[in-house]
Amino acid sequence: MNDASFLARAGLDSLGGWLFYVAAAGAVASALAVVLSRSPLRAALWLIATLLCVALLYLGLDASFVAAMQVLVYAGAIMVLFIFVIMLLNLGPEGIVRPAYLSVAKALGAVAAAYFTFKVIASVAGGAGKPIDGSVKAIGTLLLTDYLFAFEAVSVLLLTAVVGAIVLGLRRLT
Amino acid sequence: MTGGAIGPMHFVWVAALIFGIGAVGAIARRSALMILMSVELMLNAANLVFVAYAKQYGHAGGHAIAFVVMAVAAAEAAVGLAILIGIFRTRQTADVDELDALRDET
Repeated sequence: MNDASFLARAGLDSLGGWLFYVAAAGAVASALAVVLSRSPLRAALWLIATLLCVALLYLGLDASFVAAMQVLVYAGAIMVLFIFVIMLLNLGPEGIVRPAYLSVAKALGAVAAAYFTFKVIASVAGGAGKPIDGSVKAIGTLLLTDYLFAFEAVSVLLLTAVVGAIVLGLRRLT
Repeated sequence: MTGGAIGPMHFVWVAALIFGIGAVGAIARRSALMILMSVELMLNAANLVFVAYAKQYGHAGGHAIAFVVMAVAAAEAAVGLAILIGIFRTRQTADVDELDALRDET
């Protein structure tokens, strides 16, 4: 087996393959950094890196609208909220990460979860997938026809969340 | 995604990894803020699975659901951070281990 066939088998003979490997490695590595960093601010910055890498993965799946929303809503709005709260509360680095109390039951549970995840994912035949239209127009049409109820429910949910956040922010919790 | 061996199921594997990392973080971290961020990681992994299966089966419904999940994540972050600020104003801590007012005394 020469180098070219190995690259082709791993999917590294196309730009999309390289995009997948780079974005996936970046997403997993920065997700690990989020969980492992002691400073909340650093964790938030790593989380932004994770979100941007996941946006790249969305692009690899022909989901341009979801990728744009990921950058705008997640990396733009939600993470600004997080960093604002970190700065407001002046949270420093916490002490050690809580030691995990290992027990046989927890280890068995983790192994079982990993095994069933493996079985579920492996049960779906792979392949290159099907062509899909992820443009704003296509998703917008879907949201206003097939998924109209979900769309309206989201608008009510967001209104409720805004009212709830204002009420929580006004009053002192006792 | 053109050519090569990269299909939607590869993305599902990545999503499973990110979800596992987020779950461990939500369990192992003390700070309520870190728990919220770990939950965001898990929501992102779920979103990635939705979009990957949309590609696998050629139906854009997964993209619409991913949009809904993002709105839910935004609502969760807004209310969660408001609660966090409220707790911090009265208790001066974001450590979930010290917030045991509702815990059974026995």
